[in-house]
Amino acid sequence: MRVRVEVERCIGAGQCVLSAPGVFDQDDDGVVTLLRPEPPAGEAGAVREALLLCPSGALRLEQD
Amino acid sequence: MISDRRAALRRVEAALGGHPSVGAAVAAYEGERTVVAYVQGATPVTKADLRLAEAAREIAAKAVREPGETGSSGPVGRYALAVAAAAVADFARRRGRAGALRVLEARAGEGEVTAVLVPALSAYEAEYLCTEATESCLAVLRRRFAGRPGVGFGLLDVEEDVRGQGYAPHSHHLVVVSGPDRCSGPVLARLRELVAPGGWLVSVATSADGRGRAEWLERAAGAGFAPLLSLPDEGDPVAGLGAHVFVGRSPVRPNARHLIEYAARRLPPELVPASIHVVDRVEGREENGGGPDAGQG
Repeated sequence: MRVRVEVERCIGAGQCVLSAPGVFDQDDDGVVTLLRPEPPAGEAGAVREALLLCPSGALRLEQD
Repeated sequence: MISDRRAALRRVEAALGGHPSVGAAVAAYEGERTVVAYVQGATPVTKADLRLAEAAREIAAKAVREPGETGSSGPVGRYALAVAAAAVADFARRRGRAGALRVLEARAGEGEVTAVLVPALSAYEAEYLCTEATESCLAVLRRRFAGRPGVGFGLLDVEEDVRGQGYAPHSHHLVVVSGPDRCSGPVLARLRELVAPGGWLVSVATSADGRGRAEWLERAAGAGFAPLLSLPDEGDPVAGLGAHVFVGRSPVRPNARHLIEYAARRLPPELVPASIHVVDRVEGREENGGGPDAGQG
């Protein structure tokens, strides 16, 4: 599993950090930063939840 | 039975309404068993938005005290232009490395606002499209801003449908307009069409035309813009002079596929909507079933 973020779309709602704090972070302006582009399998559920909750559609998942 | 079905639909609406991208949701039965839903986008307000509002108050107070920074305008103009410049620069800074910022200014007039916002964006990669309704008005702007890097010019009459004028929907991150008094509901709806989901409308009143701001706020909300910033505050002496800056976020666009998956995790299978339609405004059933003002008309 590989995560991609489209910074262009991010509005800084912070849902991803709440769902998967080990994978996503926010910069000082709230814009998403990716801590682990290839999260371990154990994080898959949390990452999926983050993807579903992102209000601006800034997250993408690519399955291996 | 009917009330069971209504309760089920309420449950679907509550579940969808809990999603951060959904501002409002209405569910309905299609036939006996199929649930469908209509959702409109939310307008989230973030921590960075709150910080901007705070910073803007300081900038505004400073602009009134210290003339000169934003050209020859009087205190009202200085106030509004300084706040607007801070807001667009904040938007650009937040986007960081996300590619060129697309700005469209509607009704740019003689370029009073343009002259302040273009320099405010000079540190960022931005495409600033200056528009006016007629070629003769546009000629004034061309003369004034010719050769400025990143500045372009286009014909746009906001009194007419924007699609017929060669503007793609949701094509700009920031849309700027001055003279809020001249922005009717339909004009605002057209401006909203130009703003990308989650993008901003920035309205600047540099003269007495900001006095109608209460009505403006109502119209802006009616067009779907959530206020991130509306200065001056009520009771500020500058308010009486007509200065007003409004920054509103355009609703985000919910992803129907994601919403169905989200709903499936929270609802029994028979209630998961078979389809979810994203609309500008859901046609809600009566929300106010008779408040204190009911029964007067």
